Amino acid sequence: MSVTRRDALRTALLGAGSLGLRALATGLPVSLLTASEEAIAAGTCSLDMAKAQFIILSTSGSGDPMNANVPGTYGTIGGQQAAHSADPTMAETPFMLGGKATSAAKPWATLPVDVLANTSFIHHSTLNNSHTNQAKVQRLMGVITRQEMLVSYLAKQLAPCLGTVQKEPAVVGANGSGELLTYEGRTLPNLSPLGLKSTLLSPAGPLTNLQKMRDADLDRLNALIKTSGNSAQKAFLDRLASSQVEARTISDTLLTRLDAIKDNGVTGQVTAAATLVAMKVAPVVSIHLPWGGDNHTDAGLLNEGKQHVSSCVAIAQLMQLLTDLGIRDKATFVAMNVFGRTLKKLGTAGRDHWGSHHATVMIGKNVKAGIVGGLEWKTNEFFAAAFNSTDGAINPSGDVPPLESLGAVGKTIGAAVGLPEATLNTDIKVGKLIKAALI
Amino acid sequence: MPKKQRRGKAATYGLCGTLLLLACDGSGTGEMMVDPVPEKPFEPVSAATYTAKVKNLLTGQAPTSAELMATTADPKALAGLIDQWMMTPQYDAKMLEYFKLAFQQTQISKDSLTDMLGEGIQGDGSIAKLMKSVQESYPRTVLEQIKQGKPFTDVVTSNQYMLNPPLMALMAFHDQNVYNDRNQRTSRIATDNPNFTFSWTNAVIPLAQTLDPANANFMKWTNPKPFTNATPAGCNADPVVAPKGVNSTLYAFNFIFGQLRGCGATVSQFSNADFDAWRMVTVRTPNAGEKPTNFYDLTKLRDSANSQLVLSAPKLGFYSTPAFYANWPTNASNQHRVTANQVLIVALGKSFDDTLNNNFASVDVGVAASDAAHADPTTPCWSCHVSLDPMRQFFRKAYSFTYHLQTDPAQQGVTSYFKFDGIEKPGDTLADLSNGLITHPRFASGWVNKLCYYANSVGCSEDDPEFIRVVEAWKASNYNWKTLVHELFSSPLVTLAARTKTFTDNEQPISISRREHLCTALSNRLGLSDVCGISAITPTGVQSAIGTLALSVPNSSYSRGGEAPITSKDPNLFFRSSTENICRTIGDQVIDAGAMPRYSSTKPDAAIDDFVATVMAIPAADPRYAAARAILAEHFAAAKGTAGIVAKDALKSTFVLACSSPTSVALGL
Repeated sequence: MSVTRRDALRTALLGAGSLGLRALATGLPVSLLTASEEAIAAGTCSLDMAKAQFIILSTSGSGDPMNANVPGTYGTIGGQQAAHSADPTMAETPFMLGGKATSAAKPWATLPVDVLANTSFIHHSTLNNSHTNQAKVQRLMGVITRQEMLVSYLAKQLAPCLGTVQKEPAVVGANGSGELLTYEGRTLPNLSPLGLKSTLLSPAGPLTNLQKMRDADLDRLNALIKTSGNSAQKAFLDRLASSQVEARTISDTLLTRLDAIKDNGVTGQVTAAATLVAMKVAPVVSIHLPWGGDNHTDAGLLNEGKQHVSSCVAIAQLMQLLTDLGIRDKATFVAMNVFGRTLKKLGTAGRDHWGSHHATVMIGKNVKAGIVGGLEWKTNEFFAAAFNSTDGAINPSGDVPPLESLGAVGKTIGAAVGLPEATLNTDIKVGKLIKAALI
Repeated sequence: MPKKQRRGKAATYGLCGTLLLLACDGSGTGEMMVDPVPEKPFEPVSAATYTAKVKNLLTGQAPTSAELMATTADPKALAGLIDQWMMTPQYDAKMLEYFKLAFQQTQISKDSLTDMLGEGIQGDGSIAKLMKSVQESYPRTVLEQIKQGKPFTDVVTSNQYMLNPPLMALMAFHDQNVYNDRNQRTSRIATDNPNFTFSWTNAVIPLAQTLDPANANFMKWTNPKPFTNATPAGCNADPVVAPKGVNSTLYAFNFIFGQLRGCGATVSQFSNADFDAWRMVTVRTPNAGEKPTNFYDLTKLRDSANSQLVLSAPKLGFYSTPAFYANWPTNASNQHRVTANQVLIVALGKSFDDTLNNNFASVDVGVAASDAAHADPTTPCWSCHVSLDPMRQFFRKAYSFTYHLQTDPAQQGVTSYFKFDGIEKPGDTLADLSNGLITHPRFASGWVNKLCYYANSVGCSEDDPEFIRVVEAWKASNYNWKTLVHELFSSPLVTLAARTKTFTDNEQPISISRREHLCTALSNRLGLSDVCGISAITPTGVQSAIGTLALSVPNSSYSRGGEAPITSKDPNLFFRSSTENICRTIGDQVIDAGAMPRYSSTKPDAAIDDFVATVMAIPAADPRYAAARAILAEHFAAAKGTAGIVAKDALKSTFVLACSSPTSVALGL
């Protein structure tokens, strides 16, 4: 029988009835030292554990044209048609979604059938058209309680139910500082897939064999510094010690899966995300799938097409990895960016920022396949239309007007990963839960 | 209609459709995570803690016992020590990295130059050196200005820059390879001389002839690496003559950086000596009848007696550098709004937003020019555009969207106006913009607070009397940077030796040692050169390995539109794992490695002494020294006594323990 690092840690930390001494030495609360995943979950999970889902969030502060090629953007609307790439790889392609015939750019339409079976495309507005508002969109433009980021709000509640090593989201592959996430207001670090791999994999050898001894002596050094520290320093030392415990809690078996990471691109990111979820490291893992970027000058929308192809391939890879890891039903994928881009008007050569239409994509066990909302034509551009929360149909007097649609999307993501509607209605002040997007 | 409803309607219906920089949503600007709590008790920080913190921040080194004894006996001694630490090369290196971030001159790659140049820059290994130069130029400029005793306001008003010949070539090429607002390209050199012809040859032609317009070999360059392949067709001809016209200068530019355009790589004309040949250069516009400097005139660019670079487009302060342009590209939609906003953030620490004092007496200039919707004072868009658009006009008048000289008379004639947070001044040129910036009340406080972020990972309270004292002391010194460092780092704002309003307002600043601090400290304390390979052009295997590990250690950074730098300060499992593996990798380099190892397992006592004093920054005079040393010594003995562990491994494990200990990986303990 092999002894995992987790087993070793538990033995080292919990053995021989030394909990009190251990707590004294490290300064960590006994509860943390005794906490198994089960204990954490049983003690503090306030959700239906069976419904709780990990979140893999793809987000971009570039304002990618992800909105411009999804189902619901084809055909004639108000006498107008949206502009699409003429590249054959982006050709309008008919397919079935939620039992209904529709069409989208080929990369979306040719996602595996079992993926499309749980995919919802929600047309809405993010209420802004500035790159600098990426963090504000993550905070649902201020309608969420305590102005917290949605992922922070969800992670706190999901972590104890999922038994994750850390409560904070893990940010993998953020494209620049503007895409960093916060947890309870504190900025989270950006991790590269390759950096993650080298960070978590410890080389075998004598120094690894001495790790338990080193951990114990590091606890003694923590305790020493604490003796002369003030309360803020002691609190920081506790966090440092907690990070040590967390680092030792990761399964060796799953760590070897990080070997599959070969680059920092989309393939490396989805591999890292799936593995971090499988290792139960964090309740939310964010990645960056590009859909054309800030493509004002993308002549012929060539880059838009190229990145749609690679990102849809990455989504399919992610879903297959989750299946291979046996956690397909445990994770929900969400793609939500800072804003969408113009559908009709092309900029210098590509598309301009557009705060009045965006499409959020959700894929997960609790997600009902289909299109929610859609487009309406106004003077010069397509806007997100108002729709019914119950059936997703466009309706000018529907209960999800564009102004409230970002909050509605936030609530729907929350519900898809296991939060009760009542809680969401209390904590997200605007928007109606979109039941049309949920099973 | 109530104000909130108006805002909502504006956002929903896209009235701000072309605003690319700022929110028109009118929503709040920050997170409100802290509930009101009673004033917390103040617990002063020990001299050992703040002496180690300040020396680490300023030099990356550990305090000596003598230094600690001095500050313990008299806390005022810290100020004198700061003055000494500012004299060290390690301080210059720390400030170089700090200024890169503070002036937003980094976070770019060679692809970031594409917008400026019209295509990706091509060349051999010299391009990596060029990119390093692009990012270091302005920080080096500021360090030189400080050494010369110039006021810090020069960072906005001076047209002097530390440049090396390759960087001058880049700037001169960009200046002549002009793109206008309609993305139409012209070459000044080709326009001035329609017969301009560039070629490369295998024949040996003296550079003096190549550069002499009167010589028959003018612009015939010796190819240092003759082309031998059969394909692409025509590349093995001798000479290879570039087409005349606008592309001819592009061929020449590629060639001098080591690229045979259309044919493959050659060897750059620039040597390592060229990249090391930094000098202060005045960058100015041409006098009457004068031509700008030609980018290919290597003799002139290399001439250390030549202190002038003549360019068509005006350059002033930090915001006219290739690195700043590369960081903040603009376009026909954005129309230099991002440029104006980032300039405000760097110079004043403040962004345009609807919380500012927007009561201006002057007319609304520039707003209506972009979009009628922005000119409507009933929209939330207006509250930002009312000052943003007049300010961005300074750049529209001076530059095209690619930061070339603005040649469109319609744009040259627009009205610009300095309008920011209640201060308004008419103005016409970049010099007027710079004058508005240095005379703005926020210039001094903005920079003091930037340094607060550097020291504490959080800002200071700007209504803190101690903060105000530091600001006033700096202003009184005529913006002497050394005075600011002296005053701030010896202040309780940083030392936490006494209560300040900043302490009352914020949590006590304790932070992980972010990447730039951790890597510098490990390098400087262990005598290793750039241990993480942060500045290495071609990292060694060890630098690459450590550099990859260090990717999981957060670094300080800036973001578009973000007033405050991003300074992660909490540890997590990735930080913990990364620092541990970094320490393991370094342990292999410093213990029993090479003929003269830093530490020898045959002398463990000496090694352990140094682990505590130097690596952990706990000198012998620190009350914690003896206990820390005992823990390390006991670890070494226990490890050595473990079956299968030799003394070398035991000492390495002891090093890793010291290197990953709290005082080694955190600031403020």
